[in-house]
Amino acid sequence: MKKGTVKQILLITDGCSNQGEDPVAISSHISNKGVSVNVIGVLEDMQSEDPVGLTEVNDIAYAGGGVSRIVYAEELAETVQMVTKQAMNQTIQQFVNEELQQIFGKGSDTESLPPETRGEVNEVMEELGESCNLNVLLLVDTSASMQNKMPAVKEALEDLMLSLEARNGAFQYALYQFPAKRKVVNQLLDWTADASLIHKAFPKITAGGITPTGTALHEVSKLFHANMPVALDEGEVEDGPRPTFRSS
Amino acid sequence: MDLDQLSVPLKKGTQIKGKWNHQTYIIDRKLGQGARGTTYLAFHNHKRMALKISKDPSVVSKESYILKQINKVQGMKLGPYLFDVDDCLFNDGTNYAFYTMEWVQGDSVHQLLKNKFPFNLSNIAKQLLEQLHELHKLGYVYGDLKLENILLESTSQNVSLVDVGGVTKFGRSVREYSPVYDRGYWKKGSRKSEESYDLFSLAICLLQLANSGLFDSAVKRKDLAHYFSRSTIPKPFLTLLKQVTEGKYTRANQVIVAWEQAERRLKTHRHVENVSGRFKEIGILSTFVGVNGLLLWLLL
Repeated sequence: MKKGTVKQILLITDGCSNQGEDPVAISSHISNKGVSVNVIGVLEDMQSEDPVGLTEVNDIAYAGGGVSRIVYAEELAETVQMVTKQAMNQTIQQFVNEELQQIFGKGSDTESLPPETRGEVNEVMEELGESCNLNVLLLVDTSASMQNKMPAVKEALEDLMLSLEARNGAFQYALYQFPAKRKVVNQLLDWTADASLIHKAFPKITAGGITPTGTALHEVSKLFHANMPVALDEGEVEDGPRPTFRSS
Repeated sequence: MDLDQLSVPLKKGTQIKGKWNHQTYIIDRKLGQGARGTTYLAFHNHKRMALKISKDPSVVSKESYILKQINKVQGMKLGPYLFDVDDCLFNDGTNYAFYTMEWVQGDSVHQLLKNKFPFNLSNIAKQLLEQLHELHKLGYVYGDLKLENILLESTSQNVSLVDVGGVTKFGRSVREYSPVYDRGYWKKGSRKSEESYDLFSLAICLLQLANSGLFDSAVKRKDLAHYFSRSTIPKPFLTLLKQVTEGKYTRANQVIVAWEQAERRLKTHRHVENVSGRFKEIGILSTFVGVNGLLLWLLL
């Protein structure tokens, strides 16, 4: 069986976009291309759990078929790996449900199976989640207000690498920051499978008060192109196009 | 999906009727609240059982699947016995999956530690190691080994592991873990599911049972050596647990042997201490007698 590839964008931000394209519309557009958009909102230390400025976080993820969480900086490490995993499982579950509908007809999903069978379907999904290829594009908001959260972001991304490395399936990641001087996004790391590179490539804070989240998402979504380096398992031979789990 | 919102609040007396297997359960009281669902004590034909219900049906199917796998072990009891897996349709039209299992009595050592319960560390260590060894033989790691998941029945001193949410097949990435117990958190190894992953978490558990609150500052300081230096666990155990966290042991049964050796070392050490203590006493006594003798001689 040839393995599929799960494609994700993970956006880490602490506030509202205030310039450029509408991030919710962009996110929905990206999701139609088979890439899920996941968002983590980072709270200020004394901020309440439900701040007005961060509602956009949930809207973007919802439109992008992804997962969102709003957390304090110290919970970031746990959250980043959990969101990535949860989003991947969600994509696989949708894929499996679509397959089930093809077999059993419309309206069928894992929940319409008896509990015993469901356990076995779940086991298959878990195996898929463990072995599929994963491409994650990390997009970090480095506007001035993120300054004191950067150590936590760095730690969280390093921790994410540990979890990605523990999987059986191949993974690749790229790291981008926004805003950047004279452009929307700045590349810190191109697609790579080398987890150790994350330690060196760390974003510096960009001065200025603009947060063009929508435009930044649009820019990085172009990085999931057809001829990007394909993550291969050892010894696996590529022939023809790979199936992609679409998250619709 | 919000991961904290998977709990299902149910009142005492609520009837849970299974859609597929047609069993009926009556909710008695809440036993526990986890991130992935709620566990209740329930009655089924006047028999007490534990019932776990979650808003995420995959939690129920995964956990019941694991229980079914590990219940197959002969000779040793691993995890509570699974009784039933089903869906329940509530009056308001919501449908939640649940499973029922044997009710394991006891308190979590996390709770007991708060109440300053006097633990027999060796008893807990050896029982857990034996259970981990059996689980590993099946090709699974326990994963989320932490004080909250270890149950102790105080009269029988029996230890059991509850919550199978972290149980993971060898070679996969560990499904659930908790920061302080996770070796990746301390940069002491990967999150790959292998025997040594559980052994690391076990070492952290035992260190905490010996010193309540040892890792309270772990969020600020991720330096394991610092916590070893503050531990008051007897030296032979400390040395062993240090080696465990360094990944020196790859099998649970190797640690059992090493733990027993450490116990013996501790006993001889204490014996030597007692003997040398007695020698000191004799020394003091003889000086005392000597001084008295001198005084007596002077007086005469």
